[in-house]
Order: sequence, then structure tokens, then C-alpha cells
Amino acid sequence: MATKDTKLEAALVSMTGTLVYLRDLAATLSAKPIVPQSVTSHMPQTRAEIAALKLQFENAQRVAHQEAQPFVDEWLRLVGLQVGGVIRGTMGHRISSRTDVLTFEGGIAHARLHHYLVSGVRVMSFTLEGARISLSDGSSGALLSELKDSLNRGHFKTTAMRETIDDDAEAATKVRKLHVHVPVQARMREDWVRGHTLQLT
Amino acid sequence: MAKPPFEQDLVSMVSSLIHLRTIGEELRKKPFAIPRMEAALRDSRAAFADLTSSFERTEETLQREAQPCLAQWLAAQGLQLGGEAVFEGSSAMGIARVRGGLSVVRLCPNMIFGRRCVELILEDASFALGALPGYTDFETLGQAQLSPVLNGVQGVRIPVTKDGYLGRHLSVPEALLDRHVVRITLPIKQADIDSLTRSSHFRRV
Repeated sequence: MATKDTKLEAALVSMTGTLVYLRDLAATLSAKPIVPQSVTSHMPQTRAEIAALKLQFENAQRVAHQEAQPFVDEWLRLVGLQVGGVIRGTMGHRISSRTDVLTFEGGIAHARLHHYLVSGVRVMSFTLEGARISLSDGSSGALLSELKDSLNRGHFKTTAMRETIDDDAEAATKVRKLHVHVPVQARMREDWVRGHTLQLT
Repeated sequence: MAKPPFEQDLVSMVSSLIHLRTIGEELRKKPFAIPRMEAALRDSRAAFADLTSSFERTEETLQREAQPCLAQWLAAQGLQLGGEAVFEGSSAMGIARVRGGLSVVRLCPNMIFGRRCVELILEDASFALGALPGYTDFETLGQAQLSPVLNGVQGVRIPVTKDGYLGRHLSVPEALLDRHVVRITLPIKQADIDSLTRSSHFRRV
């Protein structure tokens, strides 16, 4: 691999580390009320400052994503994917003689560094729009949740895929979104191909 | 005797402080960007620095809002800010005392032997050995001789100061940095203080 690519990977690995780390700390901060109920009346100012801290965490995460963007763009070019383009691939699971395969295809709504490690791997998270998931048992759907029965019956591997329920601010409702996770490092992408976790096609 | 309400409140406040401190220390521990990335992450680093200083500020606010409760605790111990306090420690090596002006009372950000504690800072501290009359300074008696009071169960610790006093990390108010100060950590709960006093390893006199 070219030195330049290695450097880009190292930069993205470091940035993902930062995002995961920020996420962890923000989660710890929100995990329980820092100021117990019994003493809240004594500490109005402290509570206000803790609320402000949570906003500051969000801000730091937002800024970190922004500054990561040029690196993300460069990585997308390297991997041959682009926002507005299409991502497709397969995820398989070999069980004795049978292999349950999940095939997906979707438009890329956006790509960003993911703030969780997926099976210990730093990944880029692609949010799909107009996604189609097809399973080797013949069923298909737009979301994993639509295919729950087939997924439960078979041995499909969905490590690299995640469905979230997000707030849709405009419609003031919840919206389900499908995400595909692609390892930031070429070495891990190859690993995932070998392990049938994800093969982009 | 019923436990006074401020006791449980202080325990809760120390828990809050420890929780904040844990996150704050994590933040300070990690360099936000590897050196090569610093230029590209200027805004992130600024946001991160803000976050870190906000943590410190929040800890200070918590300490400030805990003061009325701490004042009640002090009163129950017969101590008051601005007054003099004397503590005595004993061990197989003998008895030693520390005396100083009580200038700061704070929530202790660490558990000491599994107990939530309050820390007191004594200003212009001086020391005495059980057998000898009169108080003198730390250097005259030395750490070994003073070990009964320095190494008592809850210990007396002398924070790092600019003039090279020994000790460990502690956020001492700026004004005290050049002074000889002593930090004493005492458990919040009266039952723990009582058992400490009964053991006579360390007590207020």
C-alpha cells in the first residue's frame, strides 16, 4: 500500500479513536444523574454546568466530525465510493453445507466515521437511502427489522449492518435508518471479506 | 444518635465529585490529536480544551455549593474555618502532632480506604513530638520522626508546594501554593471518625 494511503488510514484511525472516546465519556456523563436527587436543591449551579457540559460534548463531537470530513472524502475516493453514489455487497454465514447470504444495495446518503468500534474494528458508517436487502431464502425488504423472521430462522451475519431509530426533526417523528459499516483500514476490509462479514461488490 | 442529614448529603456530593473527576481525568489523560494531526484538528482541539476547562469549573462549582453543608459538618466536629486545629497521630514509633490554621474545607475527590472523605487544609502548619514541648517546623523534626502523624490511618499529607515540600497531587488554592500547608483527610461519617479516634491512630485534640 502506498505510504500516502497508510498515512490517511493512520489519521482516520486516530480520529475514530477520538470520536469513540468522546462518545464513551459523554455516555458516562449521562449514564446516571451526577448530582443525586437528594442534594439537587443544594446545587442548582452545578446542575446547570453539567447540563452545559453535555452540550459541549455534542459540540466537540460535531467539530471533530467536521474536521474529519476532508480525510473522509479522501478515503472515499480511495475506496471508490461516494456520497450520492451506490454501495452494494454481501454478508454470508457458512453453516455446515449451507451458506446464508445477505445481499444489499442502496444509495449513500452520507458517510461518516463511526463512534463505536464494530467487533473491535474502526469503521466508516454509510447511511443508506432506498436500500434493498435480499436474503438467500428468497425474502427481501428495505430494513433489517422487516426481515426479522427470516434472519432469526437462518444464520445470517449482520455484523456490518445496523439499523437505527432516529429522530426526524422535520416530520417530528421517528425514522428507521439502515447503515453499513466498512472498516477504515484496508487490512481489516480484507479480513472482513475472508470472514464473510462484508464483501463490497 | 440519629445521623445528621448533612452527612448523607456530603456522601452524595462526594460521589458526584468522584464521578465528575473520573471523567475529567480521562479527558486530561488523552492527547486529543496525534502531533501530526494537530494542524488539521485545530477547532476540535479548541472544543476539547473548552470541555476540559468546563469540567474543572464544574468541579469547583460543586465544591462551592458544598460549602454550606461542609460548614455544618465542621461545626459538628467543633471546628471552624479560620480557627486553629490540632491533630494527633500515634504509632509504635510514638506520638506526633500537627497544628495549623484551618483555611480550607473541601470534598475529597478520592476514596480513602473505601470511605468518602472531607479534606482540610491547615495553613502555616507546625509539628510536635509527643515527648517534646513546643511546635516547630517540618524540616526540623523530619519525616521519619513525624511518621506517627504523617502515616496515621487517615494520614496527613503535605501537598506539593512551590518551595519543594513533599507530597502528592492536590488542587490547593493558588494563595496557599507558597505556604507550608498540610492536608488532612477525614471520613465524612461520624461513625468512621469515632472508630478512628477510638483506635487512637489519629484524632483531633
